[in-house]
Amino acid sequence: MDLTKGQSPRRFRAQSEEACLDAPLRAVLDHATRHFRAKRGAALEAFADCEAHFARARSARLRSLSRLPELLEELEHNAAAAGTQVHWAADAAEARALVAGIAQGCGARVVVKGKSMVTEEIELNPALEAAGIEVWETDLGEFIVQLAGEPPSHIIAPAIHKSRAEVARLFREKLGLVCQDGGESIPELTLLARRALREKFLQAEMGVTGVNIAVAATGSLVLVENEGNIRMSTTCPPVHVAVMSLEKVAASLEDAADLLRVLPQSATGQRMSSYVSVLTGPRRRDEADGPREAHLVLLDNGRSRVLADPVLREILLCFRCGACLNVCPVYQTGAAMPTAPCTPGPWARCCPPCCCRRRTPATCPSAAPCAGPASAPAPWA
Amino acid sequence: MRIQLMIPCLVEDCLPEIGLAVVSVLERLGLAVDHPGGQTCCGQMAWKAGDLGNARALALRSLDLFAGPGAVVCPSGSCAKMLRTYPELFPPGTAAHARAVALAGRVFEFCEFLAGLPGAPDFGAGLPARAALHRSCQLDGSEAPARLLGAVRGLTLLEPERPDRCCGFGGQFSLQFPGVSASLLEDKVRELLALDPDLLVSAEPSCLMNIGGGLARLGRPVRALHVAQVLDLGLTGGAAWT
Repeated sequence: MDLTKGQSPRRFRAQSEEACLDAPLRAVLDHATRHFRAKRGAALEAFADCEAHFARARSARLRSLSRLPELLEELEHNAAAAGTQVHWAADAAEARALVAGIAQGCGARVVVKGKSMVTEEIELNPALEAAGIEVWETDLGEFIVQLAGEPPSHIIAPAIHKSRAEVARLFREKLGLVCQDGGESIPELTLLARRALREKFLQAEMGVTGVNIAVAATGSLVLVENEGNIRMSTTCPPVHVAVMSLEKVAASLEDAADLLRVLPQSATGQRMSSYVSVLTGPRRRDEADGPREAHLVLLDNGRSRVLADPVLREILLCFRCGACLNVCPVYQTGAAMPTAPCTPGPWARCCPPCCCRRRTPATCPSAAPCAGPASAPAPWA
Repeated sequence: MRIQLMIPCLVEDCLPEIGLAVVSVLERLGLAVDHPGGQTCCGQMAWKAGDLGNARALALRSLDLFAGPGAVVCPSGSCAKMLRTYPELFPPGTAAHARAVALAGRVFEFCEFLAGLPGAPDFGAGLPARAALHRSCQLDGSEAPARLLGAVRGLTLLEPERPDRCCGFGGQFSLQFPGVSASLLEDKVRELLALDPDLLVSAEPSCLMNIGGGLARLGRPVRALHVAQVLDLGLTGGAAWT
C-alpha cells in the first residue's frame, strides 16, 4: 500500500474506509499481527512469574510519574556530570530547532537515525532536510518506509504494511540495487540494505536516536533494538543526539532492569532484545569508540499537561510495546493506515490532542470499536 | 430466589424476543424475576463517548432502579460490564461511589449467572441443531456460554477458526466508520458460514443484531439467537426454531 498520497486529517474517515477495501494490505496486516500475537503469547506462557514481573514494571513506571519533575532534574544533573549536554524543548518546534542547531554546529551533512517515534512526532527529518542535511533512517523497516516516502505504520514494525515484492521494487527504483540472485528473498534484501547503510554510518557526522529508558540516578540512556543499527548510530558518528519524551525517565538502574525484563517480552516476544545499549556520556579518554559529543533533548510537547490531568495521567505509564496494535481489530483492517499516527493505540485516545495535534486527526482515536481488546495486552491495563 | 432483570436498550427496542426468552428460562428454573420499571440506557454510550456528565446521570438513575436486594441479571456482557464500571464514575469516599461498588458486586451477565446456579450447566434442554458460537469481546473470554450450550442435548457447538475476531459492531464505531465495520463483519460472517451452521448463537445482543444483519443480507437461512433463546427453545420442546 502507498501511504504517500494526500494524507489529511480531514479526509481520514473516507481514506480509512477506502483502505480497508485493500485486500492485499489486509492480508499482510493479518499475517503480521497474527505472528506478533503468537510470539508474545508463547513468550508470556514461558515467562515464570510473568504477572509479578509486570507488576514490578508498573511500579517502576508509577515511581517515575509520581516524582517526574525531580527525577528529570536528577537526570539532567547526572547526565551533565557524565559529559552529556542536556537541552529542554517545550514543544516540537523547539526540539527541531535544537537538533538542527546541533547538526549545523558540528557541520553535519549526513545524519543517521535509529528508529524513534518521538522524532516522528516532532517531524524532525523534514526539518533537517530543509537545512540541507541528508538524513538516513537505519532501522530496516524505517529505511524501507523512508525510501517509499511514507510514515511508519507500526511502532515496532514500521514497514509492516510492505510486502517483500514492494521492498525489492523500492530498492531497485530508489537505490538501483538488486539481489545477487535476482530474487526477493528477505536475507538477500537485508544484505542490500546493510551494504547501503554501512556507507552512511561511516559518512555521518551525527547520529540521532530516541530513548527507551533514561536512568535518573546515573544519567544513562537505555536503548533497545534488534538490528545493531542504533549501536552503530550512537557510536560511529562523532556526535550523538538522543531525543527523549519526558516520561521515559526511570529512577534507578533497578527500575530500568524491571522495565527491560518485560518490554521485549511484550513487544516482540523475546526474552531480551538482541542489543541493549546503556550510554552514559560521550567517549572517555581511555575509550576506543563512542561519540565525541553527546546531547540529550528532553521533549515536553504537551506531556506535562497530560501529567497534570488526573484522568489522562495514566496513559504516561505506557512504555510503547505496541502489543495493543496487534490485537486491535481495526488496525488489522488497514483502516488506521492513512494516518499512521505517531501515537497509535490507546495513546491516541489521550495524547494526540495534547501532543501532536497536526499529525493525528481528531476522529482517529474513535476508530477503535471498543476498549476491551485494545487494552487487554497492555501489561498493566 | 428473586432476581432483578436489567434489559439493555437494544433488547428493549430491537430484539425484545431475547428479553422474553430470558424471563422464560429464569422462571422455568424456579427464579422469581422482577423487572424494575423506568429502565433507560445504562450510560455506556455516553461513557465511551467521553461524556462523563451524562454517564454519571444515567448511572445514578440505575443505582436507584436497582437499589433493591439480590442479583441484577442482564442478557448483555457489554451492559453488565458498564454496571460494573460505575465505581470509576464517582470519586471514592462519596455515597454514590459506595452504592456503585455495592451494585457492581451484584451484577451478573445472564450466562455467568446461569452457570453459577445449582445443576448448571445441564438444565435438561435439548435442541437438534448445528450452532456456531460467537464469543463476543464484551464477555471478556467467559466460558459460560459455551458451557451452557455444550450441555444442550442434540446441539452441535461449532467454533470459528478465529474466535477472537471482532464482529465490527462496537457501538458508536459502526455508525462513525460504517465501511470499516462492514469489512470486519464480512470476515466474521465468512468464517462463521464456513462452519455450515443452522444457528448463530451469542450472548451479546449487539453482535447478534450486527452478524444477523450480515447473514440476512447474504440471504443465508441462518437464524441469529441469544443463548437465552436457545435454552428457552431447548426447554420448551425445541422444534419451533425451524
